[in-house]
Amino acid sequence: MNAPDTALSRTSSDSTLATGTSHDSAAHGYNFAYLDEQTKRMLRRALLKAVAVPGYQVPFASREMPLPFGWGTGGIQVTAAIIGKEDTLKVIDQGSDETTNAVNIRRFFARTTGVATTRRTAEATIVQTRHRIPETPLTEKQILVYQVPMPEPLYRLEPRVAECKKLHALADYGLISVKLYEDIVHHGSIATTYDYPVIVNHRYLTSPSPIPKFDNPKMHMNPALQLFGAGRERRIHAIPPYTPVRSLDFDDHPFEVQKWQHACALCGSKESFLDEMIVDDAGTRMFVCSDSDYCHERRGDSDIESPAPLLPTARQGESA
Amino acid sequence: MQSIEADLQAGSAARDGASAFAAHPALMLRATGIGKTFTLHGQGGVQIEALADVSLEVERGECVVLVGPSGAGKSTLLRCLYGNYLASTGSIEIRDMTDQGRPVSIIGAEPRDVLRLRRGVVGYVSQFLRVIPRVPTLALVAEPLVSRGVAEDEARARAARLLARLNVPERLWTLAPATFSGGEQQRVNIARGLIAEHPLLLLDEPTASLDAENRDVVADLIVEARERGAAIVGIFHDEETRSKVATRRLELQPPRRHAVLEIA
Amino acid sequence: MTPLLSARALTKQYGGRNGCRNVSFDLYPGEVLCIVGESGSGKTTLLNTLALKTEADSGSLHYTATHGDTLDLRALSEPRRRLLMRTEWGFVQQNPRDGLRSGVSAGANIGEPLMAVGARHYGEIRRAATQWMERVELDATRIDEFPAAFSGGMQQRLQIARNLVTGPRLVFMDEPTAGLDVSVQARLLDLLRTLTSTLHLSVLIVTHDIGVARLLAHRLMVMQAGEVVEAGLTDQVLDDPQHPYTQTLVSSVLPV
Repeated sequence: MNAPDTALSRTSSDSTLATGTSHDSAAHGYNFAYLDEQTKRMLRRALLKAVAVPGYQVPFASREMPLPFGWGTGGIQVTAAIIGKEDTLKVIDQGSDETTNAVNIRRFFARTTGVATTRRTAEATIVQTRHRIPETPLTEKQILVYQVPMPEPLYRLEPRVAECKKLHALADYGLISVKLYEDIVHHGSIATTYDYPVIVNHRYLTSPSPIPKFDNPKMHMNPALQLFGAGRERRIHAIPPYTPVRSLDFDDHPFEVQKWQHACALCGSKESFLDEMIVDDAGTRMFVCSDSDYCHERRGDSDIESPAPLLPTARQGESA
Repeated sequence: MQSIEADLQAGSAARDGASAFAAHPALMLRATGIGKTFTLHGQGGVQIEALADVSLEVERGECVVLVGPSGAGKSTLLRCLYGNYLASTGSIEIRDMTDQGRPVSIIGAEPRDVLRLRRGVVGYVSQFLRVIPRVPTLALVAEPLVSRGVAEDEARARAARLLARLNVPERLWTLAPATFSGGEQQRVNIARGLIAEHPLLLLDEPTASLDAENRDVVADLIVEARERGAAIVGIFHDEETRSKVATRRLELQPPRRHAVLEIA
Repeated sequence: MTPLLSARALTKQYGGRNGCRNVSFDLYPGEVLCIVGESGSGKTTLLNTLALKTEADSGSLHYTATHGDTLDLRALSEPRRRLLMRTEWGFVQQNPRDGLRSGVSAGANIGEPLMAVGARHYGEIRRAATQWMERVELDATRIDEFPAAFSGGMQQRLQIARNLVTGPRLVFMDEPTAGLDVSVQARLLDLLRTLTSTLHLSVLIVTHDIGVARLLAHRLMVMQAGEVVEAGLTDQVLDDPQHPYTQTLVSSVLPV
């Protein structure tokens, strides 16, 4: 979400000022990145397995984290397992660096690791994200960590866990086609707009997490390593760099991404994913980029100027 | 269990059978030493001997009429020949016209072989109409042709002609025969039994419920079949039909050892 | 001719009793075989063992697949077994709700087996589903309705369509008409009779109703207390029963 800028410093090595608080390089009494070394080792082993079998859900011993399940504990554990002193971390929540969750997670890592944090995608080595892929293309030097609520793409159709495991093992995926067929029957087209199921590396059916289907094509042959953590469900899966990822469809109902008739009201982009925001009590709407960093970059570092004239009562709007 | 002697007898009978069929190209049916005993387990295991040591050979163009008093086992014999009853002793061989004329033994045959013979070689008209319910008459009569690969249109046309000849009114052709009169049912039965022009026909009282006119029609049909080269074994309850169709008669007597009971 | 399905001394028992014992037979392509027995006869155990839903204790079971190879069914791995069940076999459950997905439409139920073997064209899947609804005499305009909107007899037709859409060679049926009203039963039996003869299916039907056997089956196996007591051509077994139990069964049927 593209909230108006607060007093954000832009320097890439910024850490303390990014969060507006000062702290020690590592908060007193905590291990680096909060988790003990054995836990991080367990996580890395799970991650290696996941990378070895793209799209396959690897179980892991999800720990109790200082925030409840459903708030990104899976993504946090993955980040905690891979983050090192030299890393630069960016955290976004539906595209925005400034939501409560993004801010809190970023602060958590700043306090427990002392690593640099940033708002700028191009400068991050690790990007932890909830429900969006950054618009700025990623590189081989970057890792994208997704927060995943439900990693099992079949769970609504086949509630039995044991049966789901068999279906994945046997690549018996007729069921997901049934779901897509039903969508077309009831909605005229495949109605799924987020968490759109994909086949990874021609083999495993995977949930890409609730990213909008607009972002699905970005997963395909991405130079960056993509890691997925589901804390409550205790599963990790991964898509290694340059892995084929195909969104499911029918021959006569091919996969399509969302398109807008508007451009971003702030930066004019017609290619990015736009959020629709209601800006006053009269119901005035405006469309702005969901990816706040992308929008800033396009506007050419205009966060020092106030965009206030456009947003008289700037509010956090709902995302699309 | 058969004794060795019985095995030898069966073996030699088979050899006799094979050579008999080879020696007589017109031979269609060869039954030797047929015996049939019913054991009624629900009634204390009482045994009823319905047939004893009956032998019969029928060639193409022959119509053998079975005669004898009631209870002599005439119907039972026909049913044994058709594979509907299991003969207790003896051998029954039929020339399989669909398989280069090899003789096939009905006794001990696999169900699919019996069914294959019934489809292509042996036709049977029973006394009672026993057909699949809720199927229209025309479809019932056409079915034996359809199951032999005849196109449905042609099958229905031939069925229509035969039904017309048997004086079954056209308005009945789209109805299932369950509600027809006894005579109408019997004629549907006959049509169904004769339409495929089987080389071997087994007819069990096909004219029992018919009036004189329709008896004549049926007799004509049987004679035509006979002249076409069919081998026929039949039971007819009226002498007039018997004399029209028979080329030979075989008399059956009730077996000497039997309980005083009627067999259906 | 090679049999389609071959069982030899097949046994499945529960705690040393019940179930089925020492069952042997061959089923040929295009044959309809009825397994007849009363409750406790072991007929359902036998069917489930043959269909590989239950594992046999002993005996052998072989199947000739489409490509002509003979498969040892008891040695088949689970993936192969599931593939076989998806592509060459069907199983019609007694209660249609056990054989249908209640949360998706009729068309999806019939189309799912096609999608499970790789069908990827929505329009064609829908066309196939429509055709099959017509073949089982259902109103094809109801293709988007859920199974619960159909009556019991119609749900059973849906289940039959779902099982036949992939063109299986062997279909197992567990009391397919039990629990339906008599007139509905009759119409369903007529449908089954037509389908089995026009599609040249091999069918194994379990039933306690010998009227069903008389109407549908070429062959009959009569089971009592876990064993096959008599087997043979349907009309021969029913008109000239040899075994005491078969005679009891046949004489027990109420005449109409």
